[in-house]
Amino acid sequence: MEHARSRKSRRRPGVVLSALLLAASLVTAACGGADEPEAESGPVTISWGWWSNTPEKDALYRKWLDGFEAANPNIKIKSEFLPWDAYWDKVKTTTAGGNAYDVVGLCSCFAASYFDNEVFADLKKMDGYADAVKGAQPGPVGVFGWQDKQYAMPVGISVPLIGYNKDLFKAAGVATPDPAVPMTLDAFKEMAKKLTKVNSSGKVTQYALHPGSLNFWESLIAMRGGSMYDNFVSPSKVTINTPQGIAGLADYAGLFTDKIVPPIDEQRENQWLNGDLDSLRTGKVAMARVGPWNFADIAAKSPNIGVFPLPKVGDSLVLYSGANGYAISAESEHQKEAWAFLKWMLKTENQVEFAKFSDVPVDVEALKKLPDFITPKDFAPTLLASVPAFRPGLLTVKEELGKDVGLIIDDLGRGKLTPEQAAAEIEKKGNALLSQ
Amino acid sequence: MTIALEPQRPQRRWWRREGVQGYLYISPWLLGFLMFGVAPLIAAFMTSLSKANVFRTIRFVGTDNYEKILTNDPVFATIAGNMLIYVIGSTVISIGLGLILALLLHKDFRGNHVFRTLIYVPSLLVGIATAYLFKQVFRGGEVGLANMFLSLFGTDPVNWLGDSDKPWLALVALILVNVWFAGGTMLIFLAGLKGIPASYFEAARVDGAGPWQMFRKVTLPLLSPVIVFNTVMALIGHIQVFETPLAFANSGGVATGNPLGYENSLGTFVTYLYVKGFVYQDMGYASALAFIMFAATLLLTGLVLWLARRFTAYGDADQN
Amino acid sequence: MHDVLERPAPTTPVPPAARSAARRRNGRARWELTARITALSLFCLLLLFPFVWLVSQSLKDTNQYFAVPFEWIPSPFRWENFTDVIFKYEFLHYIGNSLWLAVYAVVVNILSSSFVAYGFSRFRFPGRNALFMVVLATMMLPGQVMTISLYRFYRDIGWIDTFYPLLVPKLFGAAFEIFLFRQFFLSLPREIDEAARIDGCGTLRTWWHIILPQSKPVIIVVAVFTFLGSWRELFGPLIYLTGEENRTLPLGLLYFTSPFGSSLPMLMAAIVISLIPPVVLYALGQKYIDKGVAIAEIK
Repeated sequence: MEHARSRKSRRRPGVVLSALLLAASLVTAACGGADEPEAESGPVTISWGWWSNTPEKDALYRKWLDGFEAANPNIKIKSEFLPWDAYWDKVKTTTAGGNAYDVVGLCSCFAASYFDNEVFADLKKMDGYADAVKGAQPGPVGVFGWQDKQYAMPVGISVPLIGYNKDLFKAAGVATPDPAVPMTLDAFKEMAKKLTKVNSSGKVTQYALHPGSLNFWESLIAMRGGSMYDNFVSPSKVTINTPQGIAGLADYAGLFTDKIVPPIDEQRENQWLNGDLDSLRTGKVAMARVGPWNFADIAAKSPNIGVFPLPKVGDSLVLYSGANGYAISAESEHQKEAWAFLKWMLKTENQVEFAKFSDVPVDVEALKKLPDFITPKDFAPTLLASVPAFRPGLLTVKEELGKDVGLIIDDLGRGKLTPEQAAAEIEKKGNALLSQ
Repeated sequence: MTIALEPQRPQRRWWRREGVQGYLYISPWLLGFLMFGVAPLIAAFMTSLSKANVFRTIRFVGTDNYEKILTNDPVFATIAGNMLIYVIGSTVISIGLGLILALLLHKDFRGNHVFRTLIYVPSLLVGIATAYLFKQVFRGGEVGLANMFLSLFGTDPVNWLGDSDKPWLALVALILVNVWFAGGTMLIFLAGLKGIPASYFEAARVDGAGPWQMFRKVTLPLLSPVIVFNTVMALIGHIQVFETPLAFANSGGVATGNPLGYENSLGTFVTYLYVKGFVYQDMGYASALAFIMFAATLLLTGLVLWLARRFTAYGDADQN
Repeated sequence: MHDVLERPAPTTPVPPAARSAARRRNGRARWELTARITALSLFCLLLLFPFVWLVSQSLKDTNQYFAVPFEWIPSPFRWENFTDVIFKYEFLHYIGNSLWLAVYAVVVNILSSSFVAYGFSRFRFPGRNALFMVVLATMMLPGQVMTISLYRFYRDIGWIDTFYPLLVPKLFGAAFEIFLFRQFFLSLPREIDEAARIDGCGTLRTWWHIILPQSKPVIIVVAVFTFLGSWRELFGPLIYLTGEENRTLPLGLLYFTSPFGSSLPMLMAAIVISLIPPVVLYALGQKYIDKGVAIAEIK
């Protein structure tokens, strides 16, 4: 072994280790400066989170926020749009870790446990609360109320509609449904039967309707005069086991026996996709749930898709759905600025701008103007016919409830349970859970 | 080779002592563990003794969570059964297939690189990609790839993931996914095989050993540390299987259906823990599940290491 | 240096009588090679079947994507999926972020983990086996139950919205890599350490000059695994960093799975793109695996 070489290389392990140590100390030393407080002067930056839709829609959303920044030069918004699942993972972790966004975008579907643990600021204590909410529809505002406190403000409501593939309707010789007047369930079923196609070997090659995440049984029960729960917000009892409730479940089970919707196992297996716009685009599902959140996408890419309201039983249509809105983190250092944003987004003109690319506005005045600005224009009558049917969906800290009910409903759809058995089972399981 | 000219010092300085040096070498890990590992571990253990949700601890309940899981939780019992089948099946695939592939590729021939790269391609997939691709493989109807393959033999399409009459099919699919990921163990086996000096094989050949004897008397014993490594890691990895079963059980998009599969047939320890802790807001229960799972893993690993010490040459450190 | 291990290779000349036996052996070897290649080819076909599907679907539009019967060769090809993924979703940026994090992880982890593993495999000290079990045990508790308290800890020391939670813990070695290195070091003969010691090498130099060069095959394996581990990491960058400039590749993929209308052909294109960097790196690395071994054996 050469001496020169070994002497030269003798230093090397030491060099590497000191480099590592240096890196470690640099990194740890640097953290001292990481949490210096922001300078008092100059604009305040608030962090803001929402889930991502499409790059185009996210860009429009950001433009809307730019409007807020222009109106409030002292406040900057650091926005983050994350994919649906990732967004909720992040919100949950950061809220539990005491470091959530200043303004947290929220869907009523997941709101209950946040509210119950008081991780958001009570908006009723904010300056000018009464003034800020007076233009908003009380229903959606109520969705975010919890035990006399108001933990979030709605920005828009999700109203489910039936989207349909015009080509498949034409091919089946089915007339275009009225966009403004809900059909009766019986008429709907008659129409739907023509839209399910069976091939010569008895296999279904096209289904009339993919219900997707539309909990349509809740509506059917309500339209039959019953109710799933004593109260959809924070229920204390399951009240499904009544003749009306059973009748609603029987209506729902009929969709399966008439082969209007795909069997549960094939839905779960994703063979017809999730029961949304994608399902319609396969050209093998004639109808599926769509909503205002899809409109921009439909207008841009799918001119062959139309909409009409969900069918009704009896006199009026009932739709259980959710609202989207904003909460302010209880640990936020910028609650005042965050509240300024919430007040801004509730103003009529900003609600109109919001509704142009996203959900149905909560502001009453903005809702009236809807036909003037919505695209595609011909979707407006359907929306206006459906909005009055909106009722807040289930909101409870007992997250198992919705899941367990869903599983029993699945077995009803599979034909493993009769409507009577399903109602009894839901009542038993649900009440056991709620009384815990 | 030069021989050290300096005479060995009889008095060794304290930092030269073997024990002290050993601690110096492991000190980075020890430091990291003390800084980032211990506190979350203790916190998680305390949570397992409490009633708690994601946001806060509500009250101390002692060993209630553990007792309930072990004596009064039919879902856990089903899942423990699933895990037993899954872990055994998957470990056999990972180790067996990985070893066979490594032995096939340990010879130099043209195209060897190509095979090695191709076999490793599935292991290069990222998170959600794995779930989507394998949901497609095991999709029902004739568009599913596994069904396309089966149709070559005239078999009717199987509803792998959604058949409520045969929920065990989904678990079989979950085990079969591991066929695509044998590339990982293969890679480590190959590195292990390369570490065996060629002279050992040569010597055995001179002694007239056949291929099977060569495998048993040379390859297997010298490969034993690597086999131990792969087995332990496969066990730990398979017990923690999470993303794929969750994707298989959910229909995608907004989660519907049972995240643990029909009648919990696709439930694994971690998916159950996730659903309990993060969806149903019972963090105390989820933490207790984690520690029970931890104990089970520790037991299995201990068993493997004990077997290794008994039956192999380098199974553990004691022989040093 | 490890000539202790070298056994004299048999150099006996082949007697003429054994020639036919050699030819027979040759024929058998050829048959064996054919069988080997056939088995591997069949297995690769099975393995790559879903990937052919993936590439095919990544070049379609939504209608083609769902067409029955399935079209293996799309007509027309829709290359826009790839350009959209790269430009509209800024995938190059995501790849860049994931890449530098992964390269950092590889370099730092190889050094720190092999260092620690050297301690576990070559020194006797009280509590060694127990501590080693602790190393293994840290892998056995699912991370999910510790994320929130870890997050709170990082918040308390002011590390949220910095890269420190992603970079610093890697300086201290990782359990999987320590375990892998240790197992390989155990199979290296102790005689080479002895020879180095007699040579006047301290333990530090033995690690650097003797053990590491002998371990090239395992270093490459550790590099591959560490790279992939970091490349796949979704949760850390998601919760510790905020802002679009910090998105990583696994998160980028999720953007195509929106429940409000996903774009499956584009998701497939994104998956294909996400496979390219590791496949290229791995294929290149293949060469070094063999080279590394060659060096190790010559020494």
